[in-house]
Amino acid sequence: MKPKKYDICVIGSGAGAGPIIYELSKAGYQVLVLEKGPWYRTKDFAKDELVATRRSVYTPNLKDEPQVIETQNRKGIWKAKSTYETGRDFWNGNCIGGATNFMSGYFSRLKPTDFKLLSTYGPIEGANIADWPISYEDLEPYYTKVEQIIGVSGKVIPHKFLEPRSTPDFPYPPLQENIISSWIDQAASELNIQTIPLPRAILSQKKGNRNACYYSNYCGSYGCASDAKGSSRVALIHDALQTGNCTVIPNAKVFHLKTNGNYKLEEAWYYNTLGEKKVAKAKIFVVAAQAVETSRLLLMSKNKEFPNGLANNHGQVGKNLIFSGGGVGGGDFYYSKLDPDIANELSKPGVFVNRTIQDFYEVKNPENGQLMKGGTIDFLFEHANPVSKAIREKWDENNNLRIGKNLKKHLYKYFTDVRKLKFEIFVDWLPTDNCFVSLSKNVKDKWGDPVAKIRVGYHPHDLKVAEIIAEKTKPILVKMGAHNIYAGISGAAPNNLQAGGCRFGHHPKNSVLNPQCKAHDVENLYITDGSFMPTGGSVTYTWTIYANSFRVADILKDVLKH
Amino acid sequence: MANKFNRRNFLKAFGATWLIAQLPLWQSCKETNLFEGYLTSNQTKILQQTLLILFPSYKNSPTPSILKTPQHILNYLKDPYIDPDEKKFLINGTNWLNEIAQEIKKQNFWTLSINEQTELVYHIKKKNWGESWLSKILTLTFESLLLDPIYDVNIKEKGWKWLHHTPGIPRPDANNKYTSILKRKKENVIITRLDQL
Repeated sequence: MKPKKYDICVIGSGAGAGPIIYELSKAGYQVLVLEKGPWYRTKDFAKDELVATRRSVYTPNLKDEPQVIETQNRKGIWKAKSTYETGRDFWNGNCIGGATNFMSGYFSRLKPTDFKLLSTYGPIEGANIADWPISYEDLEPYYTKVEQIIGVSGKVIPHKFLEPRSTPDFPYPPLQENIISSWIDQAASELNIQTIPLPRAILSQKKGNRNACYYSNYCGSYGCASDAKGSSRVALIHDALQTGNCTVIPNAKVFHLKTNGNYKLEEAWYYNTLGEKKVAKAKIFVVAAQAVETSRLLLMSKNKEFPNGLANNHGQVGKNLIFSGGGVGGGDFYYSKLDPDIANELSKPGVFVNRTIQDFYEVKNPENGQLMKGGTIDFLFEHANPVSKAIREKWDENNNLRIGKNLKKHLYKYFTDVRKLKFEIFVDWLPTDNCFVSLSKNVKDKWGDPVAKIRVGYHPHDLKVAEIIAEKTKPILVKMGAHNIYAGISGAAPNNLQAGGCRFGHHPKNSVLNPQCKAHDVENLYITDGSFMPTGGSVTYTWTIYANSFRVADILKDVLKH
Repeated sequence: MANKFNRRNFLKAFGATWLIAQLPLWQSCKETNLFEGYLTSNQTKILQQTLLILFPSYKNSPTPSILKTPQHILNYLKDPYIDPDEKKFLINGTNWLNEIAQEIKKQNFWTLSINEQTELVYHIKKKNWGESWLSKILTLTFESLLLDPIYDVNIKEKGWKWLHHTPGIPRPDANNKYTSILKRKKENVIITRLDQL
């Protein structure tokens, strides 16, 4: 039977895909969604550590679908290893709604300067920094749209780096907080550092069929059982299905995008769960498979007009991949050293810390005294996952294995007497020639297709900025009376914070997409996950990806109208 | 630990070789063996005695037998989604430990006193591969200590109670526990309406 031709075929269903699916379905267009993972329903999301983190349930089995990670050793030599060999899993949520199901929902907008990093702070040697082809003002209405449709809770507080807003405050009030949030505020204030309530893509009040957060204590890495978390699945795709214009095929792994011989896409080829090859036809194709897999799919899609991969006639696909740079720090609070009533308050599970600092979004370069781009600090408690906590306690301070009664003693103390406060540092991961996606020549997935090979080089400047911010943050923990204060800055790429690879810009020689996120060389291919970002800002990406996808949805409605 | 050395090469190196070297351990045994079909009774003894050394009785803490740690390890060995090399490594570690016992103590591991067994466990903990094997067993022990009792571990929530742990709600049920939810990965469906879900 001849396959139906849809108005639009969307590959992926996470933050970059959801707004397109939602807006185009609502506008009356026929939308087909091809998602490589299954459809987990809200009722599937129990607080089950075995499923959420101990086994490959929300991510592929690494034997079936490895990736290859290329890192530089101390001698400067790049070494490539399969994730099946190392056990280092680089996948994120593979299911309807993608990684948005499992995010913590720390939502911050980019600042106006993040759109013009190069022209604001100048070039940095070895970094391929580029200004965005759009401005903050272009994206602002869509940030606001995300607040309303996805649902963002928080409170706007004036501060030095507050980005311009078209609305006075968030549509949902802040979530409940632990007593420790007030300690952070107090300590920071004494140090003349301003703290801000951290906005979250989590509903503090009911919204339509979605219930408010009930403070389960298991948020990040877990699917939400109340639909309070603003996943693409519940906030967008559920509504899209209600229109009758949306068709979703889970477990559909797209492996090739076929052109018509004249720079126009006409088919997406995919495997269904039975391993059968299927074809989907559409007028417009949107790829939003998360940065690494989007570049991989384009590189795999060699056509007559594109012998090096779709939209890659200028060799830009996969280049300038970015992550979020930074590190983690923290300190411990011992219940036994606190007043019992205060200890009791501190130990309350579920309620959030929700504090961020953006005072360091611009910092002084100690080498020349000039201002340079800084970053953001988010505070949070150590995750409640008990098995993961126990595993961390398995190793002593010298990285030797604890066993026997000594292990049990440490476990008991750790679980019953300590609350760990952490801070995460977010700085720009500068784009460089040593961070990119290509195809592995010798490692294949279970379908026989080449897997993504990801070189994850970082720029030393990223570490320098993160170190400065860590040093500015540690005194807050000292003032709070924390013990065992530490900060670890790292050039390790966080797999859950990936962007770039198909950056947008004005010129095909140094970008894959035009400012509308359409591939320069392909008439009807749009890319709307984080791949489009030339630089990433110093916050998590999800809000920006959602906002940009809403922006492209408006563009697509215009294109389809004409 | 995975970063200390190449995990896969390690598993390969200590996979089949040890299995061949220790074939006598696979001889049949008339005793009831929980791991029948997966471990010989002697391998089972080595594993169970190692568990007691790694996670011994201490104050009011639960022990591996109370937590049903051996059953959890058996479920792990039966799980078709677990990497076969990981399972092979777990099994062959018992053979390897016994070979060390034969070399150093001139006896099988399970015939030694608890002090001698403990001495050998500390001995292998100093080696990369010994530490990795013990670490793997400990991870599975922690799972039996702290996962939801729906998995027939953490019996009567004794692990949670010992560590004053509050589980998240909703807890897993028969429809969304591990073996049930994996079926979603095989669904061959086309969804066009919300009420299909």
